[in-house]
Amino acid sequence: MKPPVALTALGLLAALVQGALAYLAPAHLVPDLSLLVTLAAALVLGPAAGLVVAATVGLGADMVSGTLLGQLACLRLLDLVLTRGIAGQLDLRRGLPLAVFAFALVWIDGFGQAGLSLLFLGEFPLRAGELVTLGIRAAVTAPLAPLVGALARRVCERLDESEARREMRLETRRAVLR
Amino acid sequence: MSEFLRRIRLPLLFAALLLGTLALMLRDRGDAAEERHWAARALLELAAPVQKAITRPILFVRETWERYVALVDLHAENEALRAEVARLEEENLQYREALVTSGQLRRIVEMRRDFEVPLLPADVVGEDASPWARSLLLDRGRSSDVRSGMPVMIDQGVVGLVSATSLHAARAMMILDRRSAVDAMIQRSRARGLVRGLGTGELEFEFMVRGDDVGVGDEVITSGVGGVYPKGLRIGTIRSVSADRSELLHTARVEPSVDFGRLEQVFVMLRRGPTMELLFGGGDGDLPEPEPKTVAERR
Repeated sequence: MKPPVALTALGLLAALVQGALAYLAPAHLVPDLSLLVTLAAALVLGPAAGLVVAATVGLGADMVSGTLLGQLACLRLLDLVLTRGIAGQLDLRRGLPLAVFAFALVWIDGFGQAGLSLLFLGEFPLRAGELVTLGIRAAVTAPLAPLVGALARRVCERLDESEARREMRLETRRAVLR
Repeated sequence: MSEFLRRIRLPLLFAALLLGTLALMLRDRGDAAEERHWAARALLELAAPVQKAITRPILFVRETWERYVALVDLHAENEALRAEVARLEEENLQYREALVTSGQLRRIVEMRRDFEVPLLPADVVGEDASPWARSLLLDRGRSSDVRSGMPVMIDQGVVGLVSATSLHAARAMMILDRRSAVDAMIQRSRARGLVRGLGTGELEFEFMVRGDDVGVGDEVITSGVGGVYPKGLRIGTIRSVSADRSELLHTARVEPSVDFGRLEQVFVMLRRGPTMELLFGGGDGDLPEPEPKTVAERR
């Protein structure tokens, strides 16, 4: 139970950090950290826990951002399903494939945002200028994917280990049945 | 039956979450007047100190770098300047006085006097995490009487509108946001139209009058119509006008008067316009209401 909670907290923290970085640098130079946490969640968690984490992280990002409430949550769910689908075909545990996939996912996510904006606000916000900034954002985000993936894996392993250790301790206190 | 349920559990969970997010989007789009859920307010409340904690050290280091380390080339000149320190100290008092009576401080004082509405200074502690929306995170919230729908401005002009609040933080949608629309007019010809955000650093002015009533270099100000912003606030300057005379609706590109890339402190006008008051109702945002007086009316 602990790893999903930890990844949710990591995802929400990522959204807050992203907002702070956007104040210090142009928005397109800020990596999409909450997307990377969702990507990592898809790789290290089970499908049900991953879906709940993705939706919660997306909703958290919606709450600290000016987007429609639910917009990023919807996209994170789709990102997660897509990542799990691709992870079944390709080995996304290695750095380079993961970075390449993250690069593609930022583009897909961008078009998803634009599509939802068209659907709910009646405007498709992607023009030539936005495509360039989306490309820059993808290039900035992709190299961080292996790092965030490794961090998420490490956090989950540590929490799983501590849980297993506690279970072992409890096991030794049991009465021996003969 | 249980085997069937176990098999469809995941698709069911996915569909439920997806439908939930779509329902949230529909609700958020349709009901602009509703304050956000308590969980959203709680996260917004948490966002301000966290983002402040991240940005402040970086800003401090940046300022220190600019002030001291970047001046390392001027080290040689420091020796000569030391001789002037005594004289500068004598002049220091005069400089302070000059600072108060000139520049930005004077403009701010004039602005506060012009509107006769309490203007609350608020620090900008963060920007939108999403590049698709343009909003600011402010360090003042409901405890300082900030409510959704209140205009946000600086001495250069309109910044935007408070869109969400928590106890000690608020989110303000900038006029650059795609969802922003401000009823505006040309100061010279009084031609009226609508200023829309493009999501980038520019604005678009939509108008229906003759093309020559709007020209490059014209100042665009708020019209006061719409009951959101007071009349006479600067929005920007016309940069180009669409040449197509066959269209009924003309458009012009507007360069905002506010430098949105350098916002550090803004002022929240502690009064909601009549439209916002109708939308939000009196209960949530009852504030002492001075008689609205605009710059134009005062003059």
